[in-house]
Amino acid sequence: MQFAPATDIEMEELNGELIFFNPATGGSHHLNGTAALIWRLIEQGHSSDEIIDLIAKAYPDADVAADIKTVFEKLLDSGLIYQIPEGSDD
Amino acid sequence: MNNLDILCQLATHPFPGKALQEQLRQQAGLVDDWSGLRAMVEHHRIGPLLYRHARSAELEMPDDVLSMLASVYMQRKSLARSRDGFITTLVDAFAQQGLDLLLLKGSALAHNAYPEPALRPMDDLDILIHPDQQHAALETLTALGIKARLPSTARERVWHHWPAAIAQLNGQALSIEVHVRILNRRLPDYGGIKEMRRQPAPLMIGKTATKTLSPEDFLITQTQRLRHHTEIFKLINIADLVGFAEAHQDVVDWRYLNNHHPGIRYRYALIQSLTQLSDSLCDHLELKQKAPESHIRTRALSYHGWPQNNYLKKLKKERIHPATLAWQTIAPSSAWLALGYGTRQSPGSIWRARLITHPLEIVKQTALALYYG
Repeated sequence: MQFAPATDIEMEELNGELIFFNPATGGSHHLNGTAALIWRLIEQGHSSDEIIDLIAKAYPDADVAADIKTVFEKLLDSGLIYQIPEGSDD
Repeated sequence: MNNLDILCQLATHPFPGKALQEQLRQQAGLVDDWSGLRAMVEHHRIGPLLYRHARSAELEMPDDVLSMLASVYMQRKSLARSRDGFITTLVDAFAQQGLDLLLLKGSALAHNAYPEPALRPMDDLDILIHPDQQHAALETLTALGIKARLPSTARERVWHHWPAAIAQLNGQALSIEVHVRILNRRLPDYGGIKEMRRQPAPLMIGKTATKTLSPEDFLITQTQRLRHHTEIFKLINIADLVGFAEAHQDVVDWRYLNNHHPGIRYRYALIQSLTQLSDSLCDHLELKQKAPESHIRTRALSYHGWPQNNYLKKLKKERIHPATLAWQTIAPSSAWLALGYGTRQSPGSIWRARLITHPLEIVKQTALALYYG
């Protein structure tokens, strides 16, 4: 799966955390630690599988795949990312 | 003196130098109770500005406070972007019809007194049109989907702006004040486009060219607004004056202002107690450069007497004791007298303002309010 950051949100980086403001909802979101890292990897264009592989290598003793998928769902629900349809040039 | 108060006052400089950044750092280190900050930045509209200082000067503050300021900043950044897109549409529409349009107050200040528009929160747009082009302006606004109407009663016709026009921006209502005169009728009359003494100044909104008042007219009228008895003081008003003067100091005719409008200079002398002006600006204003050492309570910068208290009472549904109101009316703070009327801060000048200027101004503004509505 391929995701991309939403384009109509404001973002600030603070002490390693990411803070977002979604003007459509008026809501703010904080991402810390791993969630912020995942968002950054999405921003850099990595696919979901690549992100899971990269983080799994950093945490070889942990089963990270399920947790990362949960983060993807939360980012989608918050409107901070969107899923790129397969076959799209986006 | 409340350390949070002092921090917010210091933060009213949109372009702080190294010395002021160091003062901000030191002051932030003295704050031990941040709980009042949210209410303070909301009222005084300095959240985005304080956030910018917190990032650039690396101010020490609790994470949740910084996050709060970040959220306020991002919200205002998003609003500023939408608003600027709307202003661009408005400017283009007026230009296509060959109509005069100048941006006033916050809508101009956001672009010529601050490093970025998000630092200047505003809730409405103020534009100045030519009094002979009102019908054409109404057609242009209506064609853009803006709900507007011309003044229709005798009172509305002498007022300085039309009844509020309303535009829809991303599902939110945006109020537009269409001015035919620059200042409220209760203040010294400065006229409108026909009476302007100096050529309008160019102003860029992104890549769109528009116009605003000349720097001298801007400073004269912005400082006059401070004497309006029912205008609610906010620290962003100080930031406006500081940012505008610092940004335009090389083009303003300071000799003219110092000679013909000395009240402006005296107001900046008071502002020196709040935040640190640059050496070069102090030279232009013929003021001795000094760091803000003796601070004034922010509350003392506001007028709390009649008729403002009546107005605030209605807004907040508060009761105020008549004796308290009477005292605040006849004995406003010396800081407000200096800021509102542009008096020197010497005892003689303050007493003259208290005993003569202020009572006369109450009578005058009340009479004008009754006459013009």
